Amino acid sequence: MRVALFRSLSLPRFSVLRHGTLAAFALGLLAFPREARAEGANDSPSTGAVPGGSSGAAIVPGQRQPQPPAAKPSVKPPQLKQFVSAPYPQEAKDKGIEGNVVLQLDIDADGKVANVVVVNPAGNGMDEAATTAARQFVFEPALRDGKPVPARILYRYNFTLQAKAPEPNAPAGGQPAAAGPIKNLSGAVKTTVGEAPIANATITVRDAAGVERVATATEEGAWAFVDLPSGKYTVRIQAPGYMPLEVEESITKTDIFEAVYRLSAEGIVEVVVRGKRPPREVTKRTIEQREIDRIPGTGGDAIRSVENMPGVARPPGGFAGILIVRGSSPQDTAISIEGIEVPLVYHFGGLSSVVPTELLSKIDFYPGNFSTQYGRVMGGIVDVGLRAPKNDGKYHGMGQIDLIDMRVLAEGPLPFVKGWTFAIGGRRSWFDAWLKPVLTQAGASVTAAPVYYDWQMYAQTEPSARSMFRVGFFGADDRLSLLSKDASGQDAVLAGNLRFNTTFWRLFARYDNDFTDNLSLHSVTSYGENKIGFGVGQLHLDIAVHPIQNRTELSYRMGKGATAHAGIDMFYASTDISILAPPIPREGEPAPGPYATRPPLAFDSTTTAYRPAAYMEMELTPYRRVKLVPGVRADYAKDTKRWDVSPRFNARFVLSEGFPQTTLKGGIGVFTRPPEFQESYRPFGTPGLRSNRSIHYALGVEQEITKQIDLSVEGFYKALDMLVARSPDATGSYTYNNLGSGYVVGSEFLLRFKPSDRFFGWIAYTLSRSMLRQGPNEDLKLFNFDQTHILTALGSYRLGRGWEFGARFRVISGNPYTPVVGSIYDASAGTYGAIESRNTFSARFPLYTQLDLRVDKGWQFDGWRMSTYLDVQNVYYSQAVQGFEYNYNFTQSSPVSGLPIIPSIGVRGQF
Amino acid sequence: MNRRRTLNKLVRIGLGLVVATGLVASVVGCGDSFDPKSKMQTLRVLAVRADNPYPKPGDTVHLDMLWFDGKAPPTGDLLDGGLPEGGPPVPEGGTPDGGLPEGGPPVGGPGYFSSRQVQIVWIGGCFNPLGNQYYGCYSQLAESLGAAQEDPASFAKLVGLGSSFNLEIPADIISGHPAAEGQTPNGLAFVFFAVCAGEVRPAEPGPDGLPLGCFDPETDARLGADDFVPGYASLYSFDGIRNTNPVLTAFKVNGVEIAETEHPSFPRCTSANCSEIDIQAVVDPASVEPNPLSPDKNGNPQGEMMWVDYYTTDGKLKSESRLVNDATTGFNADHGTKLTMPAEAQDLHLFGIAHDSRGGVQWMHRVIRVE
Repeated sequence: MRVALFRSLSLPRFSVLRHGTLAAFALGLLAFPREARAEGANDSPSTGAVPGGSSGAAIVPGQRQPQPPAAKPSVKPPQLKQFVSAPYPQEAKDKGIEGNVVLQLDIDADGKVANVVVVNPAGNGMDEAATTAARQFVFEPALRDGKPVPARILYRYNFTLQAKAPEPNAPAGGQPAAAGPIKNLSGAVKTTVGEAPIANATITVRDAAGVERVATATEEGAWAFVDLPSGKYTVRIQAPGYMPLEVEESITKTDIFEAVYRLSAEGIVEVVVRGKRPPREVTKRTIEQREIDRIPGTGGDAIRSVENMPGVARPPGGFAGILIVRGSSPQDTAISIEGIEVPLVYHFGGLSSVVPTELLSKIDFYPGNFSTQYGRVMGGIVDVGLRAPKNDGKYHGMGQIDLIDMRVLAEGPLPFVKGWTFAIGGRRSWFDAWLKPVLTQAGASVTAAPVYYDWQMYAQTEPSARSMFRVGFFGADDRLSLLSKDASGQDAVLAGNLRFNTTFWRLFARYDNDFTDNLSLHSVTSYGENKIGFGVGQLHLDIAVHPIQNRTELSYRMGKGATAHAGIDMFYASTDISILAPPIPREGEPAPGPYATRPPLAFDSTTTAYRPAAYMEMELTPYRRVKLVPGVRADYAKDTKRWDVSPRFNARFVLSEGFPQTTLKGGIGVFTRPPEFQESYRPFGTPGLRSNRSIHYALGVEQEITKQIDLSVEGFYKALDMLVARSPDATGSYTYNNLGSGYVVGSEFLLRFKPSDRFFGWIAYTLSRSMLRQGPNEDLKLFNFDQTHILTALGSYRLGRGWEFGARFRVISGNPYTPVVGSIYDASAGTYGAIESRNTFSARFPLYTQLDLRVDKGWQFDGWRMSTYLDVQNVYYSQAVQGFEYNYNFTQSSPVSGLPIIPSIGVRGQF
Repeated sequence: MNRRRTLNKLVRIGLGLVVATGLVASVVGCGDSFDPKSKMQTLRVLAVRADNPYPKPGDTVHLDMLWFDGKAPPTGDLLDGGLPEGGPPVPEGGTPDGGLPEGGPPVGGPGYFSSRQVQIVWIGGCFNPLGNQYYGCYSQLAESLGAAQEDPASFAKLVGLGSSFNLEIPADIISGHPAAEGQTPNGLAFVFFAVCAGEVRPAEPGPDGLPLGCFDPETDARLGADDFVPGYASLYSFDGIRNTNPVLTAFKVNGVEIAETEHPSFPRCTSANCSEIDIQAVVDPASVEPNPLSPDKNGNPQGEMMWVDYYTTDGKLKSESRLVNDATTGFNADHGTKLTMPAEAQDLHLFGIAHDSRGGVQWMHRVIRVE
């Protein structure tokens, strides 16, 4: 009933964030294992036809690359455990074309091939054949310190035609050719790892005169030659995907010679083990793909899963679509997609995020002490990455519908453009179908029921194994318009024609190149538009911003113990503003009474915002257990005409190596946020303000408990000063200053069970206190989003047969609030205004608990898969008080509980 | 065969989802309800009308108050004789502890709707307070009252009793008020009042910070919100911009205009028959003025916002407040509401009070009989 509408109105920030890069950690190339009997094997790619034998094709593994120095001796590259032979493309075979395809394989920690990219294509159907086969490879995963980790390798797949055997004197499979034959050379072909038989291997023997005979191994890997004349023979063993082997054997016609030849699967030409590099930040929390769409209570929405991390408070009402990190205001946490800042991340304040979960590759969350690559905020960073389109040569699709929206996604190779893949997705809410009748029934004349859209389309290519180029377009649109013929009982001016729309889009290009193991470049550039429109009755707020952003970082590894990062973070925007609104009090300021008869302030302007930044950061490893990350960032803001220089320093110290590892970590740094637009621009603001400032201190420890379970404990303190505060002035507006100050202190605890085949989950607890002071002579008061205790426990378990069950339980302190102690009648408006206690935020809502459950079930059909989920928030209908509703003169009040039971049910089909 | 199996599987899945959706969607929450604003069961101030809602500097503004005492509604004599349209009797103001002078300027007439003694005190003359906020007046008024103790003439201007009050607007109310960029230069005056079913006395500020209280003269008990309404009215001044009060042309019940002296009868609500009647305080569309202070995005003045608040002593109104004019979509002729009749036979007081967004007010009152 209180006038919360304007209070919650937040003008957009002109801030842009730096995209966090999950850089690969190069560990060197694979050292090829040698089979004892493979001495003399030809390491160069075989390009000649194989004489003799059948008309089949042989696929010859490729060359070995020089071995770079390994970064750590405890790293073991992936080993091919199961090879799948690619059929020789008929087209190529008919034309007699040979070739080799270099593939980049991403191998996950389970040893499965997660992604295949054709790095050097061969055409004529070989790329597709090799890709299809490689996707079915199974590896022993790469190991770092004995733990499986994802890896990226280059794999050369050679297609070589076998020449027809001129005089085959033995049938394939070593069958006897004539009566009384003697199998005087026979044996088997097996793998070097696992001793698995290699079927269809080609065994060629060449005598001194150059006459060749060919045999083909059976399913069991057996082969034989009969009645070979006595003499020395060169035996060449080939199998698709394996290193060929060539040996000399002496054969006598009367003796039986048996041999087992072992081939190494050595198509691997380069290996990059993607270990978890120690972050440049004190704390970096990554929510993995296995987790982001299965966390209960989020409706399958990945970005909302961040709310379950330690340090993140529950938004008021549980559905406000804001992130409150370590006691900072929502404006102090920035969210970027592909390194590009977006003005909003949720549709309609938290209904769902503007990028569907299906397109995300990762969500990195930094709750504080973040790298100098990020700036213009003082709280936390959420960095969302889009995943690469699938690249298996096939087209894939997905469709999903739930109670709120429906979405489609398509991806695959980009038609007519070789080497490119694409993904295109879209979503539209459909609850307008049922909400419009409800609103109409309630008396509103709905001109446009609430509806939201979002769209994403991008194409990607990998010019080389170390580079990636992506261009794309994404955006979102939310709108609502209704005309109520009832005036508001509390403030009649907030009635009538209500419209609300937010739209943003971004056109972007991203280029990443790890030029060498020591030099890499990451750059993203975008252009777009943010439009915010809000109108109610005679008041309106319309802002259109056209931002241009560029973030570029160059990293250079200067040696074993030093890596330098330097980057720029540019933001430029032209802005059109049209506002007709009264000055709006902020939380904690006295309630102003109704707005009904107040003349609004009018402001129309076109302006530009320019906020460039540059940063430098070093990763120093003076000795193996220590990592030091000093850095500095300089931000300029055209609107304040001031520079902000932010030195930061983070450090990690591995207290005990091996398992279980213990790591101490800490950091200190300066973080600034320029004033909001409405604070620094007339008529609402005061020119000449400086940036808000916060100094972060953090100290913590990470402890491995088991191979699957980690514990992280961290204490933090944030000293806040130069905060933008304000006081009413003689004009009826406000004068802003930088006299606000305060602090946030707390500790975080995270016990995490890392995702396994069956289970993932964690327990997160945060204890904190956030206090603010409006001026030097004011009392310290609680920050309005302060939550003393935040406990989240969640887990999800795969039951088998496509079933998965998850639960989340939360216990959270209630938010502070300012009690209403009376009311006063505004006769001009014909309504009452509340009188709040002068002791702001002196009361607190009761402790809040909530249980959420989620069940997933999947079905596999021929060629496609269907899945459904039921996500139920607040299962036992916890009715903890989230606010109060008042009668017309504030003499009666009624507690308002939070969300009711919220079910979300969805069905998805994908191929 | 495969297709059939797939189809069967899909049907089973679909049925499962429908059942699950029905189960979980069946749980909804609902909140408590309060006494509606429109139902007058206590002492209420319904409006304060200025004869000139946007006075010029130097003007004297006449304010009159419409109030109603739901705890002690007017007696039958008042109804039979017709409610006073003008010149309300001045209540016995007395001279409480603060030494308030008797009387106020009883010119023009608001309603007087109580069968018990109600004291109305005005404190006028807060101009351009800090932040344009009413609470910025407290220190200014305390200073003015302190100074006026020594000057009876000033005190009489500052403090008044009764349903009406006159306020002199300073000549420099605009020129002495700095304007922010984007703001049309203006002046702002606040007038405070306290309506009390007892005696208004200075008192130690309570949690709400008000330095006045309402006391039962017999028991000295401090009275609460049912018997005491503190409030304020605001008056803006602009160079060359004026506003007039909305014009009400009729009060209709079920589409039929009824006069002030008419008291049509309607059946009460029973379990067998609970009827609704349409009521509407009819606003003259011509009284909607353009508001130069509220330009649209193209700089053209929008219309002023206008609405009608409805009040009743019993029964239930479907809408308490109806929009008459929206700044962007214009006039809404359908600004009436529906009244569900009460279950008990009685005389029902109905009010329709039109407001505009610039302080303009007009009202109409009718009484109907519930049989």
